[in-house]
Amino acid sequence: MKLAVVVQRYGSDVNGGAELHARYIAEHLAKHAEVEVLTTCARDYVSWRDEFAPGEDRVGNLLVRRFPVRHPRDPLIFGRWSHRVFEHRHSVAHELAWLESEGPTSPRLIRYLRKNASDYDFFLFFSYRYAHAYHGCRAVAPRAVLVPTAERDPAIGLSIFGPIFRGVRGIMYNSFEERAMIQAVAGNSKVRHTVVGVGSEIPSDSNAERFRQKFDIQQPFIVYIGRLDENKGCPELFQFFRNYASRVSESLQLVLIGRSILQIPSHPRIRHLGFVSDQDKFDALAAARALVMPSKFESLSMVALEAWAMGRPVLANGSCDVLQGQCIRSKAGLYYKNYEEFAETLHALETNRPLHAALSVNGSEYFQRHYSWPVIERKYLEVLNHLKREEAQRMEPLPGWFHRRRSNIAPTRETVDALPTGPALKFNRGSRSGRRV
Amino acid sequence: MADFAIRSGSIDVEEIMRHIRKRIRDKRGVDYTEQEIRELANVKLQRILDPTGVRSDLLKHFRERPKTTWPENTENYSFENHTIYASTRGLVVFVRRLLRPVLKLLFSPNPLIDTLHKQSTINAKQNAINSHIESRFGAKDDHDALSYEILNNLVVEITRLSIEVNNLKMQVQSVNSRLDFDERRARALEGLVNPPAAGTPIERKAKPDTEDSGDGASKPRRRRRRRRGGRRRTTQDGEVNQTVEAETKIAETENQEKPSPIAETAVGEESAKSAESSTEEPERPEAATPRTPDDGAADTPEK
Repeated sequence: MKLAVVVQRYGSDVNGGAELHARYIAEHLAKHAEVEVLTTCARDYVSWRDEFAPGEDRVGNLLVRRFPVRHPRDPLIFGRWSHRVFEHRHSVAHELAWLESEGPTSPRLIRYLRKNASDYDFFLFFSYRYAHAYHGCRAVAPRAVLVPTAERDPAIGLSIFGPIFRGVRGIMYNSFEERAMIQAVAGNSKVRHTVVGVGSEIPSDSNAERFRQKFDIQQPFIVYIGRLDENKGCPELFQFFRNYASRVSESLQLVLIGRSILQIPSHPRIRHLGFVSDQDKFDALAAARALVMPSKFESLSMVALEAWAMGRPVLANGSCDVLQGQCIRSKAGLYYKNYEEFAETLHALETNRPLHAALSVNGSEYFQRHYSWPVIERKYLEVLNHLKREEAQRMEPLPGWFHRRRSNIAPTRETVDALPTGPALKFNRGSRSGRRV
Repeated sequence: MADFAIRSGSIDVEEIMRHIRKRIRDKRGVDYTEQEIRELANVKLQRILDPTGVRSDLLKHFRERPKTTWPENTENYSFENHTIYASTRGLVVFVRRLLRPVLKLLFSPNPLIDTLHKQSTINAKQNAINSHIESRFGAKDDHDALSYEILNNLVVEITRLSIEVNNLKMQVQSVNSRLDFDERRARALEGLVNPPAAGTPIERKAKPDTEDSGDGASKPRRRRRRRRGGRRRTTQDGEVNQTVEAETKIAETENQEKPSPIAETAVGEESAKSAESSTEEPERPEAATPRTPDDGAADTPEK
């Protein structure tokens, strides 16, 4: 079997969530099939400027084909189109213009896909919302498998993505909540799919004491790992933790790992370590009392999975359906929606040893059962083997020239607000579709 | 803070969260949930608060306030020397360039080009100024929203505190009443244990004369009650009569100062029991039993 992983950026130093996800999947499927990566020359996800050289490249053992981006993203134009389609009535043409302004637009990549489609058995497209996935899925629909990595943002309500979700051969969801959301917005429960997520490379030699000595942290602490960004809920975390530190706990510290694009408050018990190596990251998880995930928008938190793999409970933002659902299903984390709940749950994790131990054990078991690499690989291969035996269906074509210009589509924010919310907890095992309860 | 009994391997995260939320509700007070407190804060606070200067509809007022809206900046254009001759078709550009001298014979396009170029520059500056003003006003709106939110939270907290203060006041009143009542009861019982030095029957006989010469309002009534007790319970045993006397005293002290309604409910059965002694028989009108100084003597127990 020959597979192509098609992703917006690719490289050993490209650490975005979906891009890392794509790299892990490509590397692990390479054990079972011939895998190539098709991507752009961009490194920066904001500008999509060409930074890598076009042509063939090797990252690890994989062949990577890079294609230039036609134009970098203009944030002003993108913002204007986003406002137009998210907040106002609009047309399909407006949505296509939004997609064009978002990028990364690489006509050469799409031409390559069309021309060489028959050389590959399947194309795994990552991140539904980018131009490469939209045009790529349309170009090779009978061989397209989509890994949407969708979050609950207004883009999911754009009408142009409905035919893509209904027309690809298969969909690999990250979580039950993501599946429920996409099925609600696109009505694509008949498309073959599975909820699979992604695994992680967990080192066996992580050492809590090494981390404590290296960074001189002797007090108990909770850790946040990821980009320190307003969109990730960091300001709220800082505020809650400062209140907690002054009113409840006398020793607990908050350790922050990752690049910061906001001002970190100066507080004696908040430590920012910046970007650290993987070894330090896992050492930090081994030493931490718990991982805290304040983000409200996640399609799958890889770092939460890594924490569970390391036997550490997770304290998640309950406003994020995916994280709340995962905490409940794994029985390995608690969640909060306001300061009172934050304080109570964190205090329970800090002081209640039996609870902490039980959550830790559950997390470890949950990771092994659902997110260890053999499980992930098996799920991918099962879906691909099924698809090989099934007939491909035609994807719905784009509407006609006049129809595309008719402003009859409601603001997508309204569409997304009307979608069901909450964690997806109970499912019919026999059917392909999940239902929120 | 929460304490959970964890049995290994059987964790229900939802159950733990329910438990945590219940504890939070309990901390805030069993009588009022967050929703109820917010509803209370939204009704007229004058009923609860004194002084009555706090507005209860701050957030509503803020939401109804017209938002500052700005027209979007018009898209600017760039106007250069060649703009009026420009075209996407190369042939047209070529022809225009050929005919440009002819055109300049008819009129001079240069002032027009200059004016439009300056106008585009002015537009660009104006757009920048507009954007700056818009961002400043946007920041002010955000600040306003925050201020209103804080004020609203303050109102909610004031409501919560005033309710708590009211509850505490009522509790203090109740405790005060009970304390007073217990003190009076204790004094009465002490008087029983240590009878006054002039408590002999002979002295008592002589007492009514002196009492009558003093204030005459309350003391004759006491005598009358004693007599009733004496009549009802035959004075075969001295101890029985002493108990009756003590009960009568308690009833008297109770009648002198009635506790508040809160104290009444708080005191409950005790006061009801002690009150029984004074209400067992209907009180006779004073005029129906003419008093003589001998009444007191007839009331004394026989020994």
